[in-house]
Amino acid sequence: MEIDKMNIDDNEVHPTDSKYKSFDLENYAANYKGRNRINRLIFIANSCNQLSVQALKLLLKYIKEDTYDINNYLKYQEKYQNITNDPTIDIEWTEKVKKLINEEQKKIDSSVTPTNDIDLKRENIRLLNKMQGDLCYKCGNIKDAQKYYNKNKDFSNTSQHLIETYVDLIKTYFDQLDEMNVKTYITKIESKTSETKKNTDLKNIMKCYTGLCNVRQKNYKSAARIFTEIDIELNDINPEIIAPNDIAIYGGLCALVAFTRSELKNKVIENTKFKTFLELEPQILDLIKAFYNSKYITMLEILDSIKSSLLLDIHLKAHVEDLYKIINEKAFVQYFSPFQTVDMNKMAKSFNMSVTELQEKLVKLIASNSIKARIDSHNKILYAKRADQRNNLFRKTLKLGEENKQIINDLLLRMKMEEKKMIVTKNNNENKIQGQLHLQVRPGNLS
Amino acid sequence: MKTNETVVFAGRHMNLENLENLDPVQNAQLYYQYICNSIPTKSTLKYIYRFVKNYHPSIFKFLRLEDIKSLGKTLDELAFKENAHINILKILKELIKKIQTSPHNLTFLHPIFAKHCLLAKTYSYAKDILSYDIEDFDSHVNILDFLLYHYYGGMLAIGLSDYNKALTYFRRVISSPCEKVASAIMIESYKKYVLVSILLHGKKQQLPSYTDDDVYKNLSKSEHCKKYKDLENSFSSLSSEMNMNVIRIKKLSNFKSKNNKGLVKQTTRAYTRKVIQKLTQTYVTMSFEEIAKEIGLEGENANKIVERHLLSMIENNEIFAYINHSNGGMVSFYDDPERYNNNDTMEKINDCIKAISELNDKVLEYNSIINKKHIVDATKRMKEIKKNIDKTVSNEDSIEQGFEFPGVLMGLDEYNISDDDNERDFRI
Repeated sequence: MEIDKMNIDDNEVHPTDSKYKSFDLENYAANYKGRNRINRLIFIANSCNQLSVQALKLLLKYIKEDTYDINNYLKYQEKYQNITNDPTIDIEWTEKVKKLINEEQKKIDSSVTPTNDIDLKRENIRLLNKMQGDLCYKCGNIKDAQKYYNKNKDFSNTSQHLIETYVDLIKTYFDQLDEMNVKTYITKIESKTSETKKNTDLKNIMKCYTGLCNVRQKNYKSAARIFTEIDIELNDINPEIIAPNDIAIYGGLCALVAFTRSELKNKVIENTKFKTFLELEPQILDLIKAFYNSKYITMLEILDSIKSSLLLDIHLKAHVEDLYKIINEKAFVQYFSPFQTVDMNKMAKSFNMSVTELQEKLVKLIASNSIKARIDSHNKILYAKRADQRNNLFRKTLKLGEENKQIINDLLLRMKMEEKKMIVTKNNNENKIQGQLHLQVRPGNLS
Repeated sequence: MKTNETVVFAGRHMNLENLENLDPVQNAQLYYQYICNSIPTKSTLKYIYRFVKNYHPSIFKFLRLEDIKSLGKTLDELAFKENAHINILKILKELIKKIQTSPHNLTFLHPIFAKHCLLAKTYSYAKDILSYDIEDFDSHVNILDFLLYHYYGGMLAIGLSDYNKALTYFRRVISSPCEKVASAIMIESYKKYVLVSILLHGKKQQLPSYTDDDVYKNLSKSEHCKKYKDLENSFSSLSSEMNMNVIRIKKLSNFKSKNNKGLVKQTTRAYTRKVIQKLTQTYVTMSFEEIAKEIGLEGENANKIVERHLLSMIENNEIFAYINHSNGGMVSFYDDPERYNNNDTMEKINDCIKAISELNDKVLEYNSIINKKHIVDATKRMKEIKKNIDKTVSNEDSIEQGFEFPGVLMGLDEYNISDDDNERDFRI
């Protein structure tokens, strides 16, 4: 169990490098499209040394295929060159792209048709902004693209146009990993119910974005719900946003973290729709089944084996430790739930750890009230503690009554003081000095 | 009248022992003038007591509260001069009982009484006065009396080990209404408040929401409060982690304070015990060594200290446990035997309900007698505050609009104007 010792922030050294030998990057990249693929490859190139050459190679290929992004091309080309000493810059491509950009710019400029009709004029501006934004986006100039799209908010006349603008904005914000703004625009779109009802595609796109944002914001329960309830055919998923494998991974892991055992059964294991996704990632399915069937050693093994690939995920990396910790704790809780007393030696064996380690974890869990139990640290036995609700109720009631009495009394007194102008003001500054004198009084034997 | 004056004049030279011949009821006025104008000493205090004993405001109408106030002052001075703190307490207590309209009423004698109780270290003598929380006061009392009484009262309560009361009293001092300044008493109270809240609850207690901003400002400004603030922050939540607790205990035992040395010591001890108490929720049996580790004790004496703690905690019903000396010292904890199924519980709950319904009546009563003008003023102030908030909010809107429609300058102009307005409001 080395998971706890990993360093998440360390981008340079990847301690489990050896595990990436079997990682099929090309296959991975083929799952995605467009900017999403590029972002993911950039992330891998930056975070994993062993894969970075391969990732850069693919990255350059896809930049050339999908975009006009010369800046990034040059940047990563240089990086690639530094590692591999392969000085082949595709000048032909850059020249071609520059030409293409110019052409498109001209096309945009020329499509301005002078008109006096205000509505038409607005529509024209909108189209122009949209085109300009798209071009910028294609060039990898996401901030500029966002500016153009942002302007369009004021020029969109119909709700359909407005939604189009919002979708564009969400796209740009998401590429910059700004979940807050993505969520605001998602709610804006969702408020237009008539449009979302008609357009299932739009609805699904919004769902994907919401789910991703929830994962990023550690909102695992809602993420799990969204991904497990998602209702898209495999082929209809927009790989520019998310790949079907991701739905399985995100949905499966979040469900494991956030769902109860019965929910896991109903919503995950017996969910035929979600199963089609899970079949793409059989390990996740095995993981959930292992947890459900209380095979903790298998579960821990699977967790260990998939960790390396999870760490390559742009959205999951920061949360892997967190997720693993919660899953681990859940396993403890589930293990203990049917017992009255547990021999800690046996428990330690089924979790493959030493008794002292186990005790430490248990103490934490008891303190956070996840497990209601007490430890016999001498005989190493864990006793379930049946909380006496009645006693608790009485204790709390009495305490609350006292507190309320105190609060009401204090408030009443304070109101009276305010009413009668008993207020500490500058005028009794002399009091302040006097007060300090009085404060000299102190009882010496308060010990 | 003329005869009186002569006596008064003569009193300064005369021995109070002459009062022996006067009857405090029949010749009350004379008697009093005599006392007032002489300089009392330790030995003559009994005459004052004799007078006070027989005094009653409804009978002695000529005696104004101001006179009693000056009597209080005289006694205060005397006590300091002759180190007679203990001697004047009886008189003060009698007087307080005589002049207050209800036992919940604050008088100007309260702070003097509490102060001398502290100085004489006779905390228990103040018990009956302290048992009534202050609920009202008359026009002769000023804010200083209020603050001082609660400050001293809190200290007396610590002396009486009634930490709950101490906390309440200090909280009252800190949350008193303020206008731009905070009293030094408040700052001192805050220090004690921090310590007592750790002592009592094992973590910092939030100040009430109605505490004035000025108090917070002054607290953060004050140099002396800094270390208390630090201390408070390291106790921001309950902890059951061993390392955390050991660090906290160390912090407490190393905490240096001139004025609160004793209290810090008590707090350290109380927190150590809190930790042990918390352990009973996690463990069924534990060895002394393990407990010693949890509270950061090392060395040979560790086990002994742990045992001492445990014994006295068991004695005080703080924990429920057996100690077993085989295996080098083990403790088995068991649950609180209190089942809440006896008459005591019933009584307690009934008392509480009764008290709260009484409070409800009090609130209603207060509602009917509250000064109408005060309410009008307060609502006006609230409205002003609300208006200011609204203004700032609308300003923020206009900023946003201003950026969204660079062409529309109206929004920005509006923002500038109202911004000035706002500043003016705040300055007033």
